[in-house]
Amino acid sequence: MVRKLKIPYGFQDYLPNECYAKRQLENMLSEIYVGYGYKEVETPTVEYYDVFHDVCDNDKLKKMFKLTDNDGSLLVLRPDITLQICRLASKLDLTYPQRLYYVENCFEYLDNNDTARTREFAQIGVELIGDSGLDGEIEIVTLAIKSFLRAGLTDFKIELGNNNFFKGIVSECGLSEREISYLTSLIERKDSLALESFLQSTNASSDFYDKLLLLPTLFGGSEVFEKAEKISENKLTYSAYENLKKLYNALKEIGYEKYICIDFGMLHGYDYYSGFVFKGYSKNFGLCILDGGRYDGLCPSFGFQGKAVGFAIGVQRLLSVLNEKELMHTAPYCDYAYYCENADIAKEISFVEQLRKNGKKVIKLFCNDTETLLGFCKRNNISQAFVIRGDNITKFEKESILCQK
Amino acid sequence: MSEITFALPKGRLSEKAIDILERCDIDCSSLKSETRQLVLKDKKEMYKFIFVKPSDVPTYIERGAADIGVAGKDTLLEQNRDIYELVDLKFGKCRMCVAGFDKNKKNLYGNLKVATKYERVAREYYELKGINVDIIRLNGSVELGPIVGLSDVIVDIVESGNTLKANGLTVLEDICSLTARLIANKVSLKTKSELILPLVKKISEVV
Repeated sequence: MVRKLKIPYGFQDYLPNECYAKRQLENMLSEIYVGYGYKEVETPTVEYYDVFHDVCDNDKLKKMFKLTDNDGSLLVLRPDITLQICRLASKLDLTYPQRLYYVENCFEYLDNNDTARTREFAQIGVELIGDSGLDGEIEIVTLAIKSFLRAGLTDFKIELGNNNFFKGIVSECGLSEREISYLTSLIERKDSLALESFLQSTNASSDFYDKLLLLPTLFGGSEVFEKAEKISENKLTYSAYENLKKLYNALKEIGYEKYICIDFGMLHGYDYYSGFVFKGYSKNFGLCILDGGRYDGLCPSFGFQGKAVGFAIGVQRLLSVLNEKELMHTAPYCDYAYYCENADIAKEISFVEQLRKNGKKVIKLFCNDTETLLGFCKRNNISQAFVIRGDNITKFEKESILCQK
Repeated sequence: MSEITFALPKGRLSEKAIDILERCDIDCSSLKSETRQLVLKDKKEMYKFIFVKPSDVPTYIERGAADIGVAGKDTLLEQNRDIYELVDLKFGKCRMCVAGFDKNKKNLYGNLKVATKYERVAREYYELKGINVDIIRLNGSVELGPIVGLSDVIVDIVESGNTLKANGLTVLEDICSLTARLIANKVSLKTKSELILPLVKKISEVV
């Protein structure tokens, strides 16, 4: 029996209260996106492995749930919705940017359970596909901030980065692709020590050396722009610097400065994102809740032109934060409870349906004594109760519910 | 309310870690008292200190149960967590080594058998060298492996080399050198930067 009650690690049930809170949150966030003209899309749970093969790094490819189709082709459980949406966008007219959002679950095949990650995770996200430039980035970050505010968070940070800053610097250094990939992992960890010893081993020029060593420290508020500008001689690096500065200033104008910080050393998903990247955190919650950026390379990987920018929110993580801060929406239970004793069924239906028509939630108990009814009402915080006997309806006062044991 | 949770490793690294904190003018009197309490605070109640098993420090940090902590590089290499590695604390110096008998008999049949606590480190090391190995994971007294014939060699940290010597083993290959590191949760460094960054700066100045 134990095995039948077990579920594989990394998966979860949503019990009624959790499910209610999750759906409330998803609805609240969807409303914001709809208000900006975003339309919902759904994608299949299963895709061809090839869709992801060219754009995802090895580690991500390894962590996909794989199945085989009857013709032998390799399938995966959706590991990432953004890529699916880029594939789907080939069917849309991109003369004007398409605004899309989704509420879906993704899958990751973890091989050990000693991690803060789960194997199935709910995501809600937006994608702005087509040429939108800086204005598109401003809109996307605004939506991210509005999402956190709407959920009830106040002490959160949205952190902006741009991986072209790094790309520009390393484009002049003559390192191999493998060395660059190792370099990104060191900068991602802000491991200056390993960075230093690695750079020594490559005989990099001292100029290049100093720039890269500065990178892990280039994070914080608007004060980092000054330091960043000094090492922005490369054209691509300068364009990244300029992009972040403009974005920062625009968000400041809107009044969002207190939520914004910068990290020029943010290099996660280096192969996937092309330029602007950002993350969202809440104070006292140690995991990243929101992840996004620009991925102009994804649509071309499907053979058509289309720039794209967007983000995804980890719904479970956001719910954990709300739960810790006691901001979770709890399901309101019923307004009325009742039971019947030899009731005239026509009378019963017409009475309770009238209540429901007026927006009341009415629950029928399958019992035949007042004590059970009133006890149930008290336990579940239901303030009104009645009994239908024959065609006679007896209501109970609030006091009689409250004085129940 | 304590603003920063600091994870400290019990055992060989703890004394020196506390020493560094003291040099940063953090009141550590509660940490030095004989106590069984697992959560301690400084007088100003700015820091909350938790004492955990050394190999658990990165876990607390990755999940944000602690903001900042001290961990050995051996543990960090083995666990490969998603965290920031900020400062080399320069104590707890040791080496990750392959060790075995002096006249290491060449294994003629099957793969090289390697006993270790550091499964990932050993696997990656031999993968890079293109050698097929059977990894035998042990939780302690790894030196016994070659002595009782459980394994051909061991991969382990070596501080003085005395334990190896006492058991007739010698270092055969050096993998890398190790020290204790200051690590931080990726979110905390950003959301509590006004508290953590000055501390990181101070620590890097005193080590």
